Amino acid sequence: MSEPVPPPYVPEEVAAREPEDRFRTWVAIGIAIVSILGAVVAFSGTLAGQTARQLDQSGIEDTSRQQQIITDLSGTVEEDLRNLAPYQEAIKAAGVLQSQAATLSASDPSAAAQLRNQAESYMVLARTRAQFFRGAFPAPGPSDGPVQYDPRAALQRLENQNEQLSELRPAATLAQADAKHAQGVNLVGLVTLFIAALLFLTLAQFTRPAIRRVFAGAGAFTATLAVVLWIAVLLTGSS
Amino acid sequence: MRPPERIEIPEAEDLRRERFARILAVLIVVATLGVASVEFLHSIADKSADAASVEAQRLSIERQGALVRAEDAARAQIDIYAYQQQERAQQANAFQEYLAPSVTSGSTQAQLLQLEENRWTTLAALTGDLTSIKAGGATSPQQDAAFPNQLQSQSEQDADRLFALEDAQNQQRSDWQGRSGFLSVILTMLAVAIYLFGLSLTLQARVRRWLVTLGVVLVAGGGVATVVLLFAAPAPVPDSAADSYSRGVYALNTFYTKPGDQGLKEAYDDFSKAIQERPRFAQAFLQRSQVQFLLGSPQRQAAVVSITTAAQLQAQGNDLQQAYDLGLRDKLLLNNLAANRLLLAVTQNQPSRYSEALTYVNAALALDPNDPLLNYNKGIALLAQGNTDQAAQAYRDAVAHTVFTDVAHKTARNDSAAEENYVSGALTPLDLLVKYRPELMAQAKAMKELIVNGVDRKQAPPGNAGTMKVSELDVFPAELQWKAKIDGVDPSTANISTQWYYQDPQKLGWSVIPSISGIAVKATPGVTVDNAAYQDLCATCASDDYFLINSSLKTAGQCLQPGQYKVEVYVNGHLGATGSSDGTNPPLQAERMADLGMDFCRPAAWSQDSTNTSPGFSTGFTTKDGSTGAYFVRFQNPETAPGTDPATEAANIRDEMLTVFANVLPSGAGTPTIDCGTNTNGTNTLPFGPTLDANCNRSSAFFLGLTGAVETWYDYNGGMLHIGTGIAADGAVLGAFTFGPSSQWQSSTEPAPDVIFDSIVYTG
Repeated sequence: MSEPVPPPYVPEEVAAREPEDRFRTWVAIGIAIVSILGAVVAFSGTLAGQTARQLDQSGIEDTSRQQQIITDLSGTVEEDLRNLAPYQEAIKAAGVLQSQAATLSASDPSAAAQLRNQAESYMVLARTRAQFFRGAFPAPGPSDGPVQYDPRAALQRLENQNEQLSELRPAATLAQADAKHAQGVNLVGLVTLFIAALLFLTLAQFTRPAIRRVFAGAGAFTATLAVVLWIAVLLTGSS
Repeated sequence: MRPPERIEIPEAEDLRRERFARILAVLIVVATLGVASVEFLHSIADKSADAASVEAQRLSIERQGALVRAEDAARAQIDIYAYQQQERAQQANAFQEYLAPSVTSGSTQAQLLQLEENRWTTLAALTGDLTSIKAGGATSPQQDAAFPNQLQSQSEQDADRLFALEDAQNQQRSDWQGRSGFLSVILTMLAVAIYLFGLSLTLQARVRRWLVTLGVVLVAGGGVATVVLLFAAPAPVPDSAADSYSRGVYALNTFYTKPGDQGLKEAYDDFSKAIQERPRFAQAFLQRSQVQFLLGSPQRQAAVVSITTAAQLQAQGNDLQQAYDLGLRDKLLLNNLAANRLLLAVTQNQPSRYSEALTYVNAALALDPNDPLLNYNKGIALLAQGNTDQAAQAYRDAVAHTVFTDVAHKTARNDSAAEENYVSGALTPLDLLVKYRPELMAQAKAMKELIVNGVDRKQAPPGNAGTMKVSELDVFPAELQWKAKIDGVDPSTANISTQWYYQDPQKLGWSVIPSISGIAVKATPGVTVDNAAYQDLCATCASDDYFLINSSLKTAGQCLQPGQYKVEVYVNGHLGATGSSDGTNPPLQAERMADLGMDFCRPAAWSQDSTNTSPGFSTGFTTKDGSTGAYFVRFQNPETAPGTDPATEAANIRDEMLTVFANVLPSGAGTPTIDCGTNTNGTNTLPFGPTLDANCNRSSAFFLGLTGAVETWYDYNGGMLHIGTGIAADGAVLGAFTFGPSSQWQSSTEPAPDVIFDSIVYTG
């Protein structure tokens, strides 16, 4: 005949510690998760920093190329300006000679014819010069005024027409780099938040039972906040 | 029934260990939190440093672009201006042709020439509308003695501003990097603290308490330092500092266009404002230090300057020190600091400054060992310290670097002007040293001979010195001349080097005038060439009498200012003789007229008569009221009949010139009549000295050394004029006259209009 098996003896203190142990286990798991999340965020911050530096480099290269193109186009306009004086001389001399010929035509037809011939020669010179304008073609202007050539407008037009220049956006690239830098900093800031969560969880692990749940709650809240902010940073950073 | 399980009651020691471990765990997490927070600040600092660095690079690229574009734009403006001048010369040519004897007044040819002149006038005016350089405007050659410096400086202002902004960004980067460095130190402290907390878990009670305490101190220290750093973030630099800086650079580059100290004072104010707006602007301190020096210096046009007042030298030194303390370490700063300390040592008897100067000069030499000036400065510092042998070696090195751009490969510099600038930069401080330390006279003389012989005779051994004595030193408005007796050596084959010195009326010290100093050229028979030793053929001269003349107007475009002049003549590398004289001419400024082939010196208040200025033909300058002035003309094709006597031709042109320019004399002047002076013992003489011939022309007229030169004085109502004409080598006839009210001619010495007349030089 067998005796009935009595229930195992469990001291009262041990029975009371069981939920506490479970609590501590969960806190330990929380610490591990928050630590891993913190490390991942730190890593993503480093990656953001690397991307930002690449964008910086790209922005500087674009600025350099942009300046090179603008200087080149500006040189074209300066060339036009140099060509402008001889062109103007030819075209205005032709006009003046024609009007001088007109005043002499009655009194001295032979001298007037000579002046008209000179005027025609100047027109040939003007046409020859005209083909060398590359930025803009000057307007003849009033008969007693200079030819019209707006170097600013000519440069603007050349810049607008330049495909390479229109593709370059150094300011935007540098702004993007700046945003990436900011994202990197924000991610490093989030690591601080994760570590603050770790602090609370650690305190939850070691403090008196009466307040450890408060710390655990604070830790969980901080960690959750950090995760939410992380997602927000990633979303705003990728936009 | 089983006995109950054994429950272990922890002992007191174990409980304490457990509590200690818990505290440590919390401390470790607190320290880790600190690490994370500091790292956050560290990454902000890094980000800001990176951003400033990128911005500085961007500004640097933009500056380079802006500079290239500005220079190109300025060159285009100059090209258009030159084109306009060419058209004005065409107009003048047409006018000259119209004046030619072969053109009959009222003929078709005359009519066509007048139409051509009108046409070119119109075209030149239209071309003038295309350029920013306006005749008589601030950037024109008439207003800018160093044309086109003002135009270029103006166009480079934007680039200077970008440079200042770039410099500000570099300062920001440096500040953020410094902050980042501090944060790295704090991070290290926290890391050590964490390590100590971990280590203390494994150790005995007493030791671990010490370690934990140390860890806590480190965490607390790091925390306090972080808080302090939080309140000391680098402040942004205002852009207005860059604006003030660029204005200062412009004012400094163009100070010579303003009267007196005005330009330099403007530069000083702008740099001071830039410093006020950005107190750590090292470049502004460096630039202001140059202004400080020049404000007290009579050497404002020189490439290398050594003379200034004691107060300005001190002020310059303070600014240079500020720039140095702010971290600037470029060659210019180190060299200027060395020079400043040397001058302080020499002029204010501060011997300790010599070693200071040597420290700076050695630092500069580490950056550029090939700079002759640095080696010369090293030489004088060593000489003043009494290290004569080392000084001589430094001077020999300096001479080698002066003569060769690459000493190792003996690549000759082949730039006598640059070489003379270096020589002047070496001789002037040596002269100053002797002024304050007469006991070093012999050593200084030896070093001067070493330098002059080394540079002018390309390091050949000194030759026969002969004997020499300067008998006369003449100071003209535009020229300096020495006369000397030379024996025992043939000046036509010897190496004769002349070093001219100037001392301003304040007597701050003698400074070499590099533009007219240097080794003499070979004398050309028949004509008097600048900087060549000629035998003096005057009536009372002996066979060993020689003279040499240097024109500062022709060579450097400068007139000689009032003050003292001194000459050192070196014969075959030996200092043969010295002489000095006072320059009593009034302050005059140079006017260069390359289109006419003449230059002259005029009072600063005179301005160009644009109505009578036709490039290549004529120009004139007068006082505001027109009572005093000077006019010049060049008839390129006078159409002289073959066989005409040059003097007759010159006299004819003189008469035509007076007719053409009759309207420039003061109103009511009437027709000028020849002044035949007073007849004394059969010789006509003017009250102020010149003797006249039978035709009332100057006896043995020299006018610019031209063929058939004629000089005559004319009287008109209320005044008098002095006119000269002559024929140039290319057949052109050149003419000039100066005039002024009678009061200016009533003088027993040379009258003011004649001083101006005598300053005219022929340039070809």
